[in-house]
Amino acid sequence: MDPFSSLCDEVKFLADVLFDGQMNHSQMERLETLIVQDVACMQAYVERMTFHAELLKDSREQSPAQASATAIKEFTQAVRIRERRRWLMSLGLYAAMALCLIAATGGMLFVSGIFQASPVAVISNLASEIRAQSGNLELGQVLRQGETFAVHEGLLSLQLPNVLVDVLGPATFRMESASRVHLLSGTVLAKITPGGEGFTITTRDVTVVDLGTEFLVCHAPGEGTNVSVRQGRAQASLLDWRGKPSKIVELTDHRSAVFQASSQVSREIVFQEDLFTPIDRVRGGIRSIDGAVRTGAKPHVALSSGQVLTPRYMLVIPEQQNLVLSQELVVNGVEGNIRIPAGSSISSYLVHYDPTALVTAAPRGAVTFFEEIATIIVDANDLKKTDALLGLPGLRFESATFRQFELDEDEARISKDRHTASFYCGINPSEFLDEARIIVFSSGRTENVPKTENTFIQENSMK
Amino acid sequence: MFNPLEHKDFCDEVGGPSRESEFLRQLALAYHEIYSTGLTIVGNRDDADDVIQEVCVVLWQKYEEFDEGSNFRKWAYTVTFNVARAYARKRRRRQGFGLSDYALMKVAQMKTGGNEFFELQCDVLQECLGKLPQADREFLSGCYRHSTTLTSYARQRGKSVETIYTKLKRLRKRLSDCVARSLGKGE
Repeated sequence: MDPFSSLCDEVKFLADVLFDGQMNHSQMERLETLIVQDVACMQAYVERMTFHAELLKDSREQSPAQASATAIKEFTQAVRIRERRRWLMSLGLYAAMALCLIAATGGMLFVSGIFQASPVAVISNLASEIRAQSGNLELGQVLRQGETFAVHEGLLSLQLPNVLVDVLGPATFRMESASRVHLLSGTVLAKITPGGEGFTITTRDVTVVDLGTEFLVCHAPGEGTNVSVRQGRAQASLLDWRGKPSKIVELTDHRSAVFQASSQVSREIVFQEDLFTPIDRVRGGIRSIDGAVRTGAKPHVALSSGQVLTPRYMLVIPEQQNLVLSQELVVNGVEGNIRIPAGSSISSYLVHYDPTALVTAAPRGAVTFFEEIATIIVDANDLKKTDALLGLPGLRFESATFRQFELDEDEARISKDRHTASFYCGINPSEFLDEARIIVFSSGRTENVPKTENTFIQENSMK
Repeated sequence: MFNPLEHKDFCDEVGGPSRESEFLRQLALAYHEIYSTGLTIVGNRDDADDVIQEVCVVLWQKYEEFDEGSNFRKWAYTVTFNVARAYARKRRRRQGFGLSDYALMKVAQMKTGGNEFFELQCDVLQECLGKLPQADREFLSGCYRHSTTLTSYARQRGKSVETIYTKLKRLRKRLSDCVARSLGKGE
């Protein structure tokens, strides 16, 4: 075998062998391994096959008219073959086929009925301050292909297959498919997990194809589009007046570029970390929420009793994110005392529930994180002890002990996989306010990320 | 200029009313994309030819169910992927090896997701082809027009298959280097 300077070169070689009809068993296995394990190899394979298809086209036709002729020839030839086969069939077989056809047509009609507006995404997170043109948006609501949404204010998160999309209002977007979103205006952040590569965001200026990454697209009609890659790699194609790519820019970690179709300008600019901040502030490392939970980042002066009422849901507020502990943190959590060693990187989320006396239904809900949960603090003393370190700066907290979760009535649990925290808040009239603090190990943008098993030592058994 | 709407063979075959003409028009427009998708899934030209023939029949059979307002290319793409995948599965069973369904699905996703980029690459490839000497271009066309093994083409030119294949590899490399340079990949 030829020596290869890169895996992509090897894939190109194997694609050529396959195209030339000389592939053997071991070569096929090697090709499978490369394209499944490496997105760049996958891309190299598709590029190579597209290359061969183009050369075939070039050899077979010289004009669009001849392309039409080829299409017709293929088609009529295929129809003739079918016709000939049909004549050879018996009447009984004909009848059976007719029945099959009826069933298949019915099935196709049924399937096409679904496909005309197939579900492509689910709302997985809603900020408390969300306002949208399309009326009430609800957690778990299914968005269908072709639907357009306008979010006036707040953050909306959508779960697509292997892709989490955050839409920051004001924004208008259209769901093109399960792997494609068209942004008419506003800001969208896409976080891609394995299997979601190829996810695409389009605007009038640019088409951004993900190649395994976390990237943000901010589009203002008439002004242009900013594409910022926080992690991984994305391919941004500047579009011309026909909507066809005219220039390609590949962006990697911490790189930003602006694109304007009208002036055909694309240029790299200083990485725009601040564009991510409003989204990080609301969602942090939350993957999804369920039940009576909303996320929020509206600046509050005080969270003491009666200041921020949440009659219908528990509010989850991202606090300090990716904080590297300068010294060991020892707290009493729902599973007993834990020690989080100095040097660990953690993120904190405050759960705040403050209903009025008129509320009669107790809320239940859950928050799921990308990273593992270290613990949930429910005790008033430990909440107070960590307010200064983990809370948002300048925020006043309730000093009375009734702020804590009363575990005889309220519930706080961590799932087996340690990614989900579930809550149930009782509505005891004498003590409305309930607060808890979720501490999550953080990774990604911090160095020396600790692993769960080694980073905290549980001192006591479960309460 | 050839006009598909007036093509006698086809009209004789299917009756000739306007819906058929419209189908043909859309098929001609999407034909290359369909072919490219089929080839990407099955991997070689002979199989791709068979697949595309089957795709044309299926598209026509299902055309009654196609909503005129929707995107023909997308619809044709889905049909092509399904037909090509079924073909690849059969071939895998017959040969005992082949790309898995998972790999094919990922390939299809990449093909759809990066379609515009791949179109751009094709445009650039055409420019690079234009820069080749006429003799090289004719040689390349000859290789791609003939069957998979290149044997008949080698015989026709009075050369060994190895000689033909070596030259073909060299031209392919020259073209891919040219495409990479034009796209700023720096290969």
